[in-house]
Amino acid sequence: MTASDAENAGMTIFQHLANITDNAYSYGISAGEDVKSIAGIEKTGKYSLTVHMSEFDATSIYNMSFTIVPLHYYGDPALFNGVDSFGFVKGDLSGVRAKTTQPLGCGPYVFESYNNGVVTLKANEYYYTGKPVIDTILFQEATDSDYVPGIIAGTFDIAAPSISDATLLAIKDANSNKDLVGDTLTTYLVDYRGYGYIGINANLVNVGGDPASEASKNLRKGIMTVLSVYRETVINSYYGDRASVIQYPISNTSWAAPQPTDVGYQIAYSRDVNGNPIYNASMNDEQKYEAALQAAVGFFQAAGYTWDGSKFTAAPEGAKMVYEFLVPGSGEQDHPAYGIAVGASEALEKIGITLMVNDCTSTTWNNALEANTAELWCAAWQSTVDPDMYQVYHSTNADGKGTNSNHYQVKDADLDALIIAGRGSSDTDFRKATYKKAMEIIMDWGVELPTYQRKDCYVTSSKRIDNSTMPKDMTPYWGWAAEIDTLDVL
Amino acid sequence: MLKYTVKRLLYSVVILFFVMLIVYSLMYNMPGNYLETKARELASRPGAGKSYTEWLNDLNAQYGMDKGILRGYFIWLKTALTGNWGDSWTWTIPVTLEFHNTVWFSFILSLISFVVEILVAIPLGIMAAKKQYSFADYFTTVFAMISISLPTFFLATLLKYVFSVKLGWFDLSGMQGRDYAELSQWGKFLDVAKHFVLPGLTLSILSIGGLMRYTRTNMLEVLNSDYIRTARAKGVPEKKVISKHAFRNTLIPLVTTLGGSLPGLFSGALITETLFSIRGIGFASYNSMVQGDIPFVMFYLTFISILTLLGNLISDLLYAVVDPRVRLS
Repeated sequence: MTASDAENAGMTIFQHLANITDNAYSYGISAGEDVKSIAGIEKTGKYSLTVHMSEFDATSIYNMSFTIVPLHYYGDPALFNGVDSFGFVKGDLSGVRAKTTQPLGCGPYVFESYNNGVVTLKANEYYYTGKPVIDTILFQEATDSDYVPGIIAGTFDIAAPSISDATLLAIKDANSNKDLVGDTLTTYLVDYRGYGYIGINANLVNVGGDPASEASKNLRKGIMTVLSVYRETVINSYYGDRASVIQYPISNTSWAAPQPTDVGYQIAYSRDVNGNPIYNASMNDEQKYEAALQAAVGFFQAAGYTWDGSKFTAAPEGAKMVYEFLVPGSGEQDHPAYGIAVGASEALEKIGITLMVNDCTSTTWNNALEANTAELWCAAWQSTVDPDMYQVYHSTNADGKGTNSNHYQVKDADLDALIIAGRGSSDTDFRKATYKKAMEIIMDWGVELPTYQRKDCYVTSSKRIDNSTMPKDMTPYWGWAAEIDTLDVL
Repeated sequence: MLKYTVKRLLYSVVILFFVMLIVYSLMYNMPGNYLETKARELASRPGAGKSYTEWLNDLNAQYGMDKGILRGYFIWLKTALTGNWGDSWTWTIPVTLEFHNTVWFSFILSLISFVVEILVAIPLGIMAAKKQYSFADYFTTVFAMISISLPTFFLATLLKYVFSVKLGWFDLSGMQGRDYAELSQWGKFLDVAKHFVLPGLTLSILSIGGLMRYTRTNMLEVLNSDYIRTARAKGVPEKKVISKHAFRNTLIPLVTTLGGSLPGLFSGALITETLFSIRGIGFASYNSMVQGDIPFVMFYLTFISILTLLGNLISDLLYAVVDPRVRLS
């Protein structure tokens, strides 16, 4: 090494620059082992395959709804031998990338073009149930506010507008009978497949540092009891008949959702610390609010809070007199849970407990949730077809481990066992009963308050669409496009 | 002038370097950026298998966002200088392709409104100045104030309500009709042109007022000049006084202003394009920015910065060209 090499650490300025601008990965992407094939995936024919499972898993069937695409288009049949080569050079997706703007699948319509903001699809004459009725379908980009006026004006035929009071009013005004279904527009209201909830982090809201103790559960249930009583008023005023209050932490659209007619069906957080009902049928809203507050006093006392006859004056060790509730409303106070939080905050203030409502940005809310620093928050889950609860409630995903999606920090051995049992059986009656028990444990922990289930809206032109060919029984998992091959126009 | 131009161009390169560094830093630090949103989506999917933090680390590595601001900027600069602007994260196609697919719609829309603006605003401004304090002057001034004050979304919505919903003369939004595929080439051209009428009208109405007022002000200043008084005293016909002497001198600031606004023809009109569902560069760039699409935003803002710097230079050069009293040094 020369003196000048020592001075520049052996690199010239150009080598330094090359080093700085070198775009090689500085963080290795861990993808597990490199395998040549998967023994459990067996090709059994030209259009068939078998997937062998090592154990029963009730949720696995829902992972099989992947898109089928032609090998000859996206890959190379000459590179397929069924043993260790499956139509591609391993690691090279350039061929797939090149086809980004010309997708090809096996559905009822073939992609023709995307021009001027319009996707043109032509009927696929080779579709397995036969050529679709409508020859050409256009999917046009538009703003939400244009959907209903666009159908009225004849620009569009079908749309899925965000449902609001203004939208419903516009639909009714357009029809001569002033109803949602009339001579101009036909409206379909379908339950949305998710639900809104309020969550509490058990690691942050507890007594004595033990989230699972009865005292901790009583503390959280005290807060939830007060929050719960404001749901009906707030959700009705925010959504009207476009949403309904739900009582269990599961979407009403799920087959596993408890129904009001089921034995043991309960209103969420409607019992006091002794298990007695808080409400009766003759109570008005104000009486319910007062009853809930009195029930909360009982819960807080059971949690160890000091009561002087009119207010709580001190919290037990590990607990606090002040908790923070994050609402991701960006300061606009326009969130369905905001009114619930404010109502509960004002009520709890009367008994000396402070619930600070922080109407923050979604970034603040997201970061707090991911870092598990949010004490109370509101959010919405989007549920899947299967009611499996592993990802959200199993203890392996708490404390930042696993998928870190158990933000409630529920770590309950009985709950874990029920979740595993639920996904290990195909008997829906057994699974439904198992999940109901699991939900009762979750509610007993006081970590989740289900708030509302809203509806989605589809609007069609009564003058141009043959509404008798729309799906008869739409669900969150079977929308208007599910029977697009038999849809017809007038 | 050549020396001046070269010096300005060199300054522009330095300015551009630092402007794009600031833009990159801002996009890099933007809360809720593209990769964070993607990581969140992937972590919350059923059967995710990895936490949000793990997904974010993987995505940062894949997208080259794990190298810090300065190093990341130089890597971007190195590839950009070779002509490789990368793929748009939002649109999943090369940045230049998405730009090409969208910018011409905005350019045509802006050009139409630019031409209409000039053809309407300048004569109106001259007329208002000639007949100062007359009914025509007050009428055009009020019209100008209304057009300057109207919010874009209000005017666009009003035009859509009147001409689409009530009269049914135009489609509510979009760039083509439902029968577009069956039309001939000329028919397709006319169909797209018809869909540009309302957005073009929106942009034109909104921009006429400002230019009209500017023209009127400059014309009044010129009409009150000594040489105009001299020309009138010498018996020059009023028409010649206006067209030969006053108008040419009024043009000086107008030309420089209009020359400097040429970059605006490519910047797009976000609100108008969104309301009329015109897939222009304004719509595309806004969506890219809010989603934190760094490759597209960097390309687009580089383009706009270059146009802005060039626009300022053209404006300064034109001033020297049209006004012999001005010397660039």
